[in-house]
Amino acid sequence: MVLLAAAICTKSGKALVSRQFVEMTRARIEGLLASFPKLIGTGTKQHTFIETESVRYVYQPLDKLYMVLITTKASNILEDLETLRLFSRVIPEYCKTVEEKEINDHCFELLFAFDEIVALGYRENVNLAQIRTFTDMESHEEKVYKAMRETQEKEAKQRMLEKAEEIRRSKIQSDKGLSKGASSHYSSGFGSSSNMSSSSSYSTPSYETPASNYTSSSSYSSTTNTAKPSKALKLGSNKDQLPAFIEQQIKQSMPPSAQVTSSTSSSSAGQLSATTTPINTENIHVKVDEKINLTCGKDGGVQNLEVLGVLSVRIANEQDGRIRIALRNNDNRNLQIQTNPNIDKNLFKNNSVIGLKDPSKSFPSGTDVGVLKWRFQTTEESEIPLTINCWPSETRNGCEVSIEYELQKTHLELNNVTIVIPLPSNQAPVVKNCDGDFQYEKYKNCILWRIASIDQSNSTGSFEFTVNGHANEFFPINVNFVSPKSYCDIEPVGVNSSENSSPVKYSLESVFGVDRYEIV
Amino acid sequence: MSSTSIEQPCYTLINLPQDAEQPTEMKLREDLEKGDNKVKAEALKKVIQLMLNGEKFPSLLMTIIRFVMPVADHTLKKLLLVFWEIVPKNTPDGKLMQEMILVCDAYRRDLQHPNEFIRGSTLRFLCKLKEPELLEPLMPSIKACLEYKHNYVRRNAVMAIFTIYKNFNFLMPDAPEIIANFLEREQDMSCKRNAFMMLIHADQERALNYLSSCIDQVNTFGDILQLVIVELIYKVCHANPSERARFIRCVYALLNSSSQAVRYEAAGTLITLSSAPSAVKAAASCYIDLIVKESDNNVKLIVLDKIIQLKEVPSHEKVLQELVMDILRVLSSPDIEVRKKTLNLGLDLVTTRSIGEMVLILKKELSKTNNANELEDMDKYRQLLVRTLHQMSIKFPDTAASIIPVVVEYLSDSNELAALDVLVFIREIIHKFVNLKDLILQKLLEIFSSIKSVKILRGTLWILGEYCENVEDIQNLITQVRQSLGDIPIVDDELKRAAGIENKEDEQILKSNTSTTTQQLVTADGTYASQSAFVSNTPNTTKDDSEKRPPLRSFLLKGEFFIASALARTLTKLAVKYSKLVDNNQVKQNRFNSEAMLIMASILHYGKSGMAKKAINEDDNDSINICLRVLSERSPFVVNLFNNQSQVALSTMLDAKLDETDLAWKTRHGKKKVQAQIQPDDPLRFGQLISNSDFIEKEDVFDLTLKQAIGVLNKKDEDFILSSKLNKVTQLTGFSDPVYAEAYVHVNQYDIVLDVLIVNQTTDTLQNLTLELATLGDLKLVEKPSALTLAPRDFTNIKANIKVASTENGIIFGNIVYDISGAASDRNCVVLNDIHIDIMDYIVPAQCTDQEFLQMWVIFEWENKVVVNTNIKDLNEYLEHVIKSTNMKCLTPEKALSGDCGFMAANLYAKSIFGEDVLANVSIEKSLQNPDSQVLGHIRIRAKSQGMALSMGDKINLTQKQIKN
Repeated sequence: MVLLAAAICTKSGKALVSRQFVEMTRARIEGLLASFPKLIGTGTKQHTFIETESVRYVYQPLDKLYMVLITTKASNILEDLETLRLFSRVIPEYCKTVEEKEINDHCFELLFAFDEIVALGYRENVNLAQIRTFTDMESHEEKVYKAMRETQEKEAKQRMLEKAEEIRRSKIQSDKGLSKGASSHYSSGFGSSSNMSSSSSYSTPSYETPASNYTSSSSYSSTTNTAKPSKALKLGSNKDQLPAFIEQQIKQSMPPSAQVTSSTSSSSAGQLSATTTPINTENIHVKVDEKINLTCGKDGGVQNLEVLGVLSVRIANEQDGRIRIALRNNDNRNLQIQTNPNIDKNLFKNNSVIGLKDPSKSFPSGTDVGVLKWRFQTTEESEIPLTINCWPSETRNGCEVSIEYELQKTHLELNNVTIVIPLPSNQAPVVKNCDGDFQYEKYKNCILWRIASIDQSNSTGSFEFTVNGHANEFFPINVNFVSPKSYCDIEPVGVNSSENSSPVKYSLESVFGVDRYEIV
Repeated sequence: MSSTSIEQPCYTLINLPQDAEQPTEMKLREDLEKGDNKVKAEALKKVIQLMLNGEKFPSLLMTIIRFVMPVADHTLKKLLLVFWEIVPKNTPDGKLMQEMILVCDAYRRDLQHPNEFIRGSTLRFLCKLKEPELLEPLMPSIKACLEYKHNYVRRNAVMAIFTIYKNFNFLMPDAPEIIANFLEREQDMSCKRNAFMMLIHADQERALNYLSSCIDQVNTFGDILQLVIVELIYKVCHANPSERARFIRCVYALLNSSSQAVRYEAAGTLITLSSAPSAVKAAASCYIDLIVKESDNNVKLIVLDKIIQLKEVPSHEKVLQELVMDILRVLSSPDIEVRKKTLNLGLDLVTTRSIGEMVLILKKELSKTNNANELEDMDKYRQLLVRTLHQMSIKFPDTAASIIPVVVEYLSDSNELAALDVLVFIREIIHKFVNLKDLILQKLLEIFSSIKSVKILRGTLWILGEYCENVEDIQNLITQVRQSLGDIPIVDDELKRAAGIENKEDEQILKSNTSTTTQQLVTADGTYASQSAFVSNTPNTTKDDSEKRPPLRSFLLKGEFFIASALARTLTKLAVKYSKLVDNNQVKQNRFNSEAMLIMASILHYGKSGMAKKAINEDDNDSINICLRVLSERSPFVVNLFNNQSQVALSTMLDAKLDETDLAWKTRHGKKKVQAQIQPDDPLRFGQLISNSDFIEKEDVFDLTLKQAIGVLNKKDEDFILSSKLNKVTQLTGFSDPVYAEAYVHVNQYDIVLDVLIVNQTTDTLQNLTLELATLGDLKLVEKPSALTLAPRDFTNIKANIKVASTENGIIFGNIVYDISGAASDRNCVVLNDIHIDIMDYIVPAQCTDQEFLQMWVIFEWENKVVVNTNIKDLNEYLEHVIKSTNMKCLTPEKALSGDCGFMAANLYAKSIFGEDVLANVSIEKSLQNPDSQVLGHIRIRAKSQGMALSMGDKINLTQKQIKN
């Protein structure tokens, strides 16, 4: 099929608009179009094509106009008629009435639409809606690109401001330092802290995926929970920086036995850790660490739910290492439990007590030793700790999204819950109702819903907003949280010395965190 | 020489409304510079529209580059693409304009635009770009677009690469390879199609490899891809017939594609690939299936044409003959033209084997027309069926007996069209097949009394009068006539009736007088005939009245005395025959004669009594009188005339007709006949051994039709035109004028190119030399030739294009103006000689039927009567001369023109290439006694437009005078 030209003519024979798809001279096309009305004649025929020596006209009357296609004579008539139908449906799409004036007013729109139907004389496989999209030229890519440009510009601006601020501050600081004449130790410490704050402000916008979100929060949890008082803690307590700093120096230089006493005796350090974490670390520290990996569908149904747990022991002194840990396993779900090869299996099986195979040996000291692993996997919906129900409904003004959560495992206590909902457009959402607080991340095209804590007392909550977009564009939703209570009901109940079975003092810590929590 | 825009490809035409006021260049510039996006877009639209209509804005180019190009608005971007399509990109000396480099950079950026639609439309625009210098820097970006994630971009990128490779393959020598790789990975149907198409044209080898790799999946491809696959197979097998076997299966498979378009294409290709009967049969069945299934009339007609083409090949005809019954299924379509074509096709294909079945079907169709007469085309369809049956029974006389009873029924139909054809049919059958005579006569006599139309009755009377040859038939007929005529003498009978309803009668006469008009008609041979006719139907009162009377009487009552003269002749013939039959019985003879004469006399009396609505006219009166005389005198010569000669005349006429159709058939099938005859020592051809060259002789139809359509096909008579080029040179100025000019007028189909040679005959440099042209008539100057400077004694060629919209005598006139450099004088001017455009270049002979001719003759408003004024002494010679000089076709058959009777009438017809009809009627005479006498008479020309009629008249006047000199 070779379509030479598509034209709209008046009944009197004037060609209003014509688009040629094959190279031809102006005189030729004008001639062909001029002879067309004369060929039609007056008679009422039941067919709508005319063949001349050289070309074939296929036409369709539209009120006072004709939609004419000029094709070669070998052209495929079936194909041509198909194309003609599409052409004549395009016209009312762009013109309100099929009249000469209207066509003249919209000739360019029509030309653009014609271009989409035929390529080099061959029909393209398009429908009316596609032609609309092609001529409207609304590109998602372009929007993303534009938004990116915008945020980049904004960021650069902000960075500029920060830089200026930093320069100003460091200037003041150096002025201060000079005037005080104090040791440069302070200023350098201060400098490093300001450095850190600025670096954290960088990382906020570069908040990329929920996974990285997790890493930041996991680093947070690990810092809070490690026995060793971290730098962050130390820096956080600005008021008595000097004693803490010195103490650390001392601690590091002191033997471990002394350290215990010092750490326990040092009231200031004890207070310090108490304010940030409720866990007191003893010489024997038992830790339950669980991670959840969950993918569930937006319409319900669990694709995968997996909880991995590790029980680890940390012994401060080797002489305290000959111990046994009694466990209470109340979990009657189908847990796969695995012990460390060095652990006495029979002892565990029969008495739920963890002890080394060779009771004379002691647990290695100074490191976290994983002694027990468990894995729980299910696709039961009832096992989801926190169900998220996202309900987008398309309305005339955009898409109304309402999200609610429900804590199913009420024994848990979820802290720092963040729910990340991707947005289809870069338009700011209008929030109607929010339990907790929310944050709109324009750059990442998502909205963060934060709930400080979820437990039995507030086991449900909801969030509603309106934004442009389609219903299926609000997924995947990512969730992140930490819980001090473990998911599986496995708990150490006591630590005894393996030599004399006397109870030994120990500290316990349990963390339930998120590896992946996704609603797709 | 700078190329004019007329030689550039033109992609867009936009009509500029006449009444709209045109903004000035200043205003446009301001809008483009300062307006917001909307204003800019409007201004740019205006610029494009004006440029498309011949204006030039060289100074706006920079404004647009500076102020419109950087805008990110989508509409503006698209409009700019249209603008770059039409803007001249070269300086007058043929070099690329500097500004275009800036534009090129903009293209490059658009090719990397994040918006896929901008990328796509830019790529599409690049297909139309013909400047390799501009394309070169864009090549990497174009290639990159092949990888873009949106299929919209990719498919346009393929298109761009395709055209660029086609036009400038040095820019991307590895294009076929790239595209082939692309095709392997591509999923989107549209992209695949475009890529495949590119390979077809650029590298068939790769295209074939690809096709072979996926030949089994072809059926799962989308329709547009299947279509190009069929095209590829066609092209490949055309160039390389040995490949045919590989792909014929694939084409077979595509015959069953879900897309009708693909089936159509595949059928066409299959026929060109193979002439094996099974292949032809598959293709033909596919065609027939398409016609029956597709509801669109266009498709039906075009596909029927394909089948008709197929029939032209003798070996294929046999296959089609088997399918004739399938073809007749198409008759279920309501469109008359489809049916006409189908019937003709069926008639051509019918054989002794299928005739019986076919007649059955046609008879069924005929009876269907009785039920559904609400459609207006039904009459015509019935007529067509009758004609077809007629021709079939001539071809296969055995069938006639079964057809006749069905057909005769339609004589009594009120619809004349079919009935007339039935009469013609019966006349020929009764003449040719004597064995059927009794049957026909019997049927005719049965139906005689129920015939409602006067014309049909006339024809029936003639046939009966001619062929009733035994006593019984003759007596039957005379009884029928008497019944049909009512009581005799008519006048007395009518007087009796009139006494009852006298008042009514008066009224009738009054009414009928007013409704009678005299209309000028042209008889078949082109002479004028004055004929009286009733325009309106007779009023109700008469209808009631005439219904009470027998048919013949009612005709007479209405004043139709032509039937009376026909009746008189019939009666005379019967009487003559009867007397021969009952030779020994004087009494019977006389009784019959007297009865016939009584009827005639009573009609005559009635006609003159003034009781009929219209008195009998002279012709009919004479004719009846002659018959009366024949019967009373019985001179053997006249009796013989009545007895035998009319049958002789009929057979001559039938023979002549047969000759004519034979002749037409022969000319139509001339080539075929020659081919069909194979000499005993002709070489045999084996399909497998045919070399390439045999096939290449046939041109690729796709290319051929495309070339035809865009008008680049070289005509065969090109050489002839070239050789006579000098004949068409017109001298425009005198030899001693300061500027000498002459023009070669080249007439294309729709435009005239003036190639003007301008010579500076002075020793001065002529500046601002402009050729100013103006036109008279339906001509339009496409663009003004630009000004130029001419060195002393220098010469140049200027081309000017003139568009022609209709056939009219056009005149081009103008002048050349120039400044002499250094001289302070005003502009100088040389007036040019007029150029007359000969309309004969636009007139082509055309054919139409007599009916169409008469119809047009009545409709056309303009008549030009040209009095014959010539020195040609022979009628035929004069006619020949007129035909030759006007390029018209003589519609009157040669037989009718042969012989020497001192007068001649002929109809001529022609059509202009713009589709205008022109008719002419030549009525000339010459005294037989004086061989030296002049040809006298006149020619009437009729056309729809005044210009045409006048121009034709002028032409005839001119040429007939030219002969004198």
